[in-house]
Amino acid sequence: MKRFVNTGRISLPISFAIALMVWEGAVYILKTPDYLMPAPSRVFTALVESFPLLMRHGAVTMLEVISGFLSALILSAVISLLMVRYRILYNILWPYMVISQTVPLYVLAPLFMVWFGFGILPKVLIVVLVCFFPITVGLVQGLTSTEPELDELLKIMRATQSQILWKVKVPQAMPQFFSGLKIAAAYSVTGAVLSEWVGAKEGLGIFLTRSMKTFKTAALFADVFIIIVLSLGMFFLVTYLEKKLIKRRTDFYEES
Amino acid sequence: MGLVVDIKGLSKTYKIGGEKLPVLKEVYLSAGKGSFISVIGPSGCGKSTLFRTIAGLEKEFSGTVMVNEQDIRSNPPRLAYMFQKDLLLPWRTVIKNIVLPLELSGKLKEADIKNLEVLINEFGLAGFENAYPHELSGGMRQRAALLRTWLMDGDIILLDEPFGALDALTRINMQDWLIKVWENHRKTVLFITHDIEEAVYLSDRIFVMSKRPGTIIDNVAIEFERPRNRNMLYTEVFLEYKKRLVTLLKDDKLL
Ligand SMILES: Nc1ncnc2c1ncn2[C@@H]1O[C@H](COP(=O)(O)OP(=O)(O)OP(=O)(O)O)[C@@H](O)[C@H]1O
Ligand SMILES: [Mg+2]
Repeated sequence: MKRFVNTGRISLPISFAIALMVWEGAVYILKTPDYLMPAPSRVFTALVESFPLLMRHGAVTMLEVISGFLSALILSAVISLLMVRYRILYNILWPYMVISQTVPLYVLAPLFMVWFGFGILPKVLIVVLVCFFPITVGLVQGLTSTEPELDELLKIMRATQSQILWKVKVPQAMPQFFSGLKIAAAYSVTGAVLSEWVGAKEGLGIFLTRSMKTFKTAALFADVFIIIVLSLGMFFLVTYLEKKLIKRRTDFYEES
Repeated sequence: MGLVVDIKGLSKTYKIGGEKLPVLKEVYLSAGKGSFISVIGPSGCGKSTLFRTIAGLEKEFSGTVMVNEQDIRSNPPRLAYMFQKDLLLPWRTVIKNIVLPLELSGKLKEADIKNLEVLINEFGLAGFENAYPHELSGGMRQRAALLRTWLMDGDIILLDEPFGALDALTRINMQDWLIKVWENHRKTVLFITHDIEEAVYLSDRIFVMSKRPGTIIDNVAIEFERPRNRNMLYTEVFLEYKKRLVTLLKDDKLL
């Protein structure tokens, strides 16, 4: 078991290095033109060259990501709590929430742009749409997963509705809430990029479009690299927050 | 005589998909203040259902259930209840789990910390206050759940097979421990088990239930003096009790 974990740690960098070398070698041997498939070294050069530009666009994208993610979080929390408290709201809203996930984003993105203009608002809305669903699914599932016996025990202890919610349901929902949050975090950047792709003044998505149109494939790869890094960054940020929150359990007993 | 629990002609039927499942039939049971009462019976005979009804969790039943001389239909009973599962909250430390009843009733601030410490010691949880439930042994989890139950409102405690999931040796230790704690505090305890020895060792009186639909076949007063000790289980008298109980339970099976 231990050996298994150890190899897991080193196998990723090793396999990654091997893949890069094979890629580099293949491009070198086959003499593939840059605009079709740039070698990793070319991508790296492009990354360094366009770094300031990528940062500027990345900042815009991340602004959309963070605002969308946080808005979705707040919206999800409010709606989930309401849906759990008032079953009728759940029955009414749930189908629409599922349907909202089935409408293709590349249809919504241009529509939102028509409705809300060229600024960052339509992008933020797309990110909200992408993040809202997984967060809400996780939260609702977590909030409603109380064992019936535990509910009854709380009833015998004469707990009030709000005590049951805040002292039992919410903490109990945390693992599932964070599962949803991680999915949302991982997809949030792609969501923003996709909405910029359709049309924007700045952002990694529009940089992507421009690189493509001018056949700067190496720059395009560099851009994708940044998108991956940012997505992973969001994912690990949430993972870190989860760990930290769970660690904080140790000092629960402070108040008494 | 100070009956704190008095059940007369309690019948209860569950409905499962239109089918009626009679679970309790004409149950008569009573418990005097400060007594240790056991309910023993085969699996599925309705013991848990009986306790759930006493606790006011089941609304549909016939007959009368009086707790502290009040009909539970009009006065929801105040009592402590420990379910068959320990239901400890995994994200709370032992101490935070234990004080949950106090916290919910807003008595945590005024809680007597000294007294709490004494109880934690008595329940064998000292040194584990800040551990999480998953870090405890089965016996300790059970004691933590028991202490939480102890801190619930009310002088009547319903314990639904608290030692059912423990291994034989832990179980014996828990019995020895529970009997001591109970003899110290003398709250009214209603206790479910299907272990005859356990029932005899702990109880003042044992109510024997039939197979489903459960009814009380007989009740046996256990006359061993208090404080009890385990040596009583190696006596002629104990064997007589055991024989009587086994016969009651076995005869029922043949019906
Ligand atoms: N909520 C319910 N709905 C329908 N049937 C139920 C319900 N709860 C219990 N029953 C049925 O009632 C019967 C008695 O159940 P109960 O849990 O009271 O038995 P028990 O004597 O406590 O058994 P055990 O010793 O295994 O815990 C069982 O046949 C069970 O399937
Ligand atoms: Mg039971």
